[in-house]
Amino acid sequence: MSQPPKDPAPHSTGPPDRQTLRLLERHLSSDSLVAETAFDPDSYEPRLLRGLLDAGRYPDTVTAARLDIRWFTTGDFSVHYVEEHEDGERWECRWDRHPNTHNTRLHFHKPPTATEITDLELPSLHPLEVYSTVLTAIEQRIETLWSSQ
Amino acid sequence: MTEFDPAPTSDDTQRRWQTGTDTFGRVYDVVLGVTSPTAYTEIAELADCSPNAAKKHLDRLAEMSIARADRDSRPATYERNEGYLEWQDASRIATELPIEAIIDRVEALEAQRTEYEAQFETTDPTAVNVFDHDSHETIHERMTAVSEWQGVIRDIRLYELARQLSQNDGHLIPA
Repeated sequence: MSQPPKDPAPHSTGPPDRQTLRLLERHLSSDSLVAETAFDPDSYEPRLLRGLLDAGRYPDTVTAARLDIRWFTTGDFSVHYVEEHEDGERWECRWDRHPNTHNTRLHFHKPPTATEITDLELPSLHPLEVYSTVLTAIEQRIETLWSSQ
Repeated sequence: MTEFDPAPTSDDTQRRWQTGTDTFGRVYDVVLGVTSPTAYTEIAELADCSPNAAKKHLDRLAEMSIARADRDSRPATYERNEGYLEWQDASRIATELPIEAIIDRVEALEAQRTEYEAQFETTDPTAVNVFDHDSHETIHERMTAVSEWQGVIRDIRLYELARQLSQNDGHLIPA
C-alpha cells in the first residue's frame, strides 16, 4: 500500500496567535505554580507570554524559574522552561512544534541545556492540553529537585 | 536523579486547566483554542462533558458570535469566530487607549515593518524561507522574527480598525 500524500511542508510561519496567548495567560495566572504573568511587548500586542514561576515552591538552590510561550496561528508553538540556579548555571528545556529538517514537527529540547533534541508525542495539540502537560512535567521536576536535596 | 519526563501521563495531566471551571466555562475555553472546524463530540471529549452538553453550550456560544458553527456537517462542527474576536480586540483598544496613542502605535509599527523589510530584503514575509535550515537555532530565530513581522503587519490593521472605531465613537459606521 502506498503512503498517503504528505502535507506540503510550509516554508514560512504565521503571526502570533493572540487569542490562544490570551487564553493561556488566563489559565497561567490562576495556576498555583505561577507567581506572575506578562505579555511581551504588552497586552495590546501579545507576541510572547511570560510566566514567572513561584520561587517559593523551589528549594533554595533555584533562584528563579520562568516559562516563555510562543504560539503561532499555524498551530506551531514553542514553550521554553528556564531555571536559574544559585551557582549561576541554567537548567532549561523546550517543547516545540515547527517544521525542521532533522526531527518530527513536534519535538523536545532536552534539559539541562536544551541543545539535544528528541522526537515527542503528546495526546493532544490543543493549547490547554499542551499547557496541562507542561505544567504537570514542571511540577514533577520540582518534586525531583526536593527529593535530591 | 530521575530523568525528566516531558509528557507525563497521569489523570491530572489532562485536567489541570479544568480546575474551578463549570461545564460552560470548559466548553468556552476549549473552543477558544480551536482554529479549524472540529466535531462537537471531539470538543466534548476535550471539555470533559457529554456530547449533548457540549452541543448545547456551543450553540449558545455561536449565538453570541464567539464560535462559528457548521450545523450541516455530520456531526456538526465548531471553531472560534476569528473575525468577531478580532473586532473585540480592536474595540478594547479603541475604548482603553486615547486616539493619539493609537496613531503613535501605528507609526511605531510601520517603522518596525520597514526594518523587517530591510532585514529580509522583501516586503512579503511569506516569501521568506524559515524552516529549511540545518541549524535548529537558525530555524528558531527566523521563525520568531518572521512571525513577529507578520504580527506587526496584522497589528497595523487592527490599530487602523481601532482608530476608525475611536473616531466613530465606538461604531464601525459613522452615524
